[in-house]
Amino acid sequence: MSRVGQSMPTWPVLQARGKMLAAIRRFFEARSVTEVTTPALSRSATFDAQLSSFEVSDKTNKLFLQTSPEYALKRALAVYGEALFEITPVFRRGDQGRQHNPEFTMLEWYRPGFSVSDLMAEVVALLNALPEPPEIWRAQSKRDVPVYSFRALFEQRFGVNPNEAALSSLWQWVQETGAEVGHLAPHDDDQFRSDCLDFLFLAVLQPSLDDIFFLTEFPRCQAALAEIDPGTGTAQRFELYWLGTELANGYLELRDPVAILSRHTAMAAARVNRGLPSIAFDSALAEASALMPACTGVALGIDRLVMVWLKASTLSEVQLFSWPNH
Amino acid sequence: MANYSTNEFKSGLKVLLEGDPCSIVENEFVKPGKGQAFNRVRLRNLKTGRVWERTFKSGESLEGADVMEYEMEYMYSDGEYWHFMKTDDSYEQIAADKNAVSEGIQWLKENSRCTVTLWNDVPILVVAPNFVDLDIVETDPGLKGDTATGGSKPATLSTGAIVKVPLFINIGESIRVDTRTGEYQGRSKSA
Repeated sequence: MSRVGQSMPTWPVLQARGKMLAAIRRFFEARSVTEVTTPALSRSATFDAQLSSFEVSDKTNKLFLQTSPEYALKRALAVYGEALFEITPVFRRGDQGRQHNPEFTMLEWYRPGFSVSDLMAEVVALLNALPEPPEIWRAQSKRDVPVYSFRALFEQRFGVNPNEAALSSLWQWVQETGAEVGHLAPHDDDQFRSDCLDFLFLAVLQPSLDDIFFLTEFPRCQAALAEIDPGTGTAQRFELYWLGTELANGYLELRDPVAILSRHTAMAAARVNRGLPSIAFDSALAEASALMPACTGVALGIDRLVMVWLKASTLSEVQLFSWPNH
Repeated sequence: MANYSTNEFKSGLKVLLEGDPCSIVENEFVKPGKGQAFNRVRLRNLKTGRVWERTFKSGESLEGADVMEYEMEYMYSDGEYWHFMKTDDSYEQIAADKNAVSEGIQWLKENSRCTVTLWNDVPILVVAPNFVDLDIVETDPGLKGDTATGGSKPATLSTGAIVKVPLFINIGESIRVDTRTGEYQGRSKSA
């Protein structure tokens, strides 16, 4: 039997996707945010322990397919200091499932001078500019998208600040959910704290929240490359959730090269603890971060956005040749 | 046997878990925002028929299980073993013990076909077809005309199984039973 046409999006889905991409470009043009293109192949790879890069090497270079255009866009920001966006394929090894594909399309944009709440408002404005919103968004856009604090939700439920809870307590709470946690092996590091907190959020906190919401005030161990608020000790990042699916992830961008190095060091240790390959420190990223203007940036998964917008339940319904049909 | 990584898991794959052969029913990749990626896997334990749910760290692997399923014909029992014959012209025969035939045997009359699961060439499970037609050998006398009250009574089938049947069913009649639930489905079409 022919494989042509198997597990393919319908033509109306592809038309809707095309219209959404065109609307996104119009939205940014009207706001003077410039589209740029950065290389998909890079000398540096993300050091995040939860992401795995494809390696593509030739005789002289060890190269990686980008897991997001973050590092390259920050290097551009350091030089130009202007608002910019990119729509680009990104690659994440091993992430394959209903809502994951090892290759997907990411929209990422940076806003010099914007606060986290400015950028969250712009995410909402972008969604409002998309054609033919589904009923859930039409209802949502009549009121503000609720914003929840990870820290506050966690303190309410567990009575302790997520930055300060003992690892042994976190691990006990994880086990008390009664869920299968065979994938979580205890480690004595911040990555394990992050794994436990993530699990507790998904299993305990998220089920009682709205269908669509922003989450802010992440614990310090989940700061990635976001600034820490000196007052609350929380990471100045946000995520947009839509019916349990994470759609977007934004930061007040970390600019202190010393802090970037120390986050790399912590992740390097977490990688060693888990037997993951080590990733060299990208000094170009650290230098660029110090030179770029104070800014916020956000990455939004286009395929997931199209999926939820069209009320599909799998990426393969909206993405051409998704794995294993690639 | 080969090892299979979580990204090779697909429904129908036979693997060993806690020493038991299992068939993967469903495999979902889950990756929370910042946490550890994992696979949520549902597996059917082929020895007990029970479904297990387990989570595995993505990239973890399980040993494959040498499990084969054959259509076989039930021949006879000698009291200790139940004897089956392959239907593929090989006429190969195997003997299954009480654990393997477990509940499936109560639906099998001689010469009827079933699915026999072999693990390392040893039978571990006998599954009757979803629907079987069997004769009633014992039940209380039928109540004529009583087809609407919805009452039921126990009836013993030729294989020894006991099922609930409507009051109007009589000894000697052949009925259709759903072997997954043990429920009466109706009079046999051929009867």
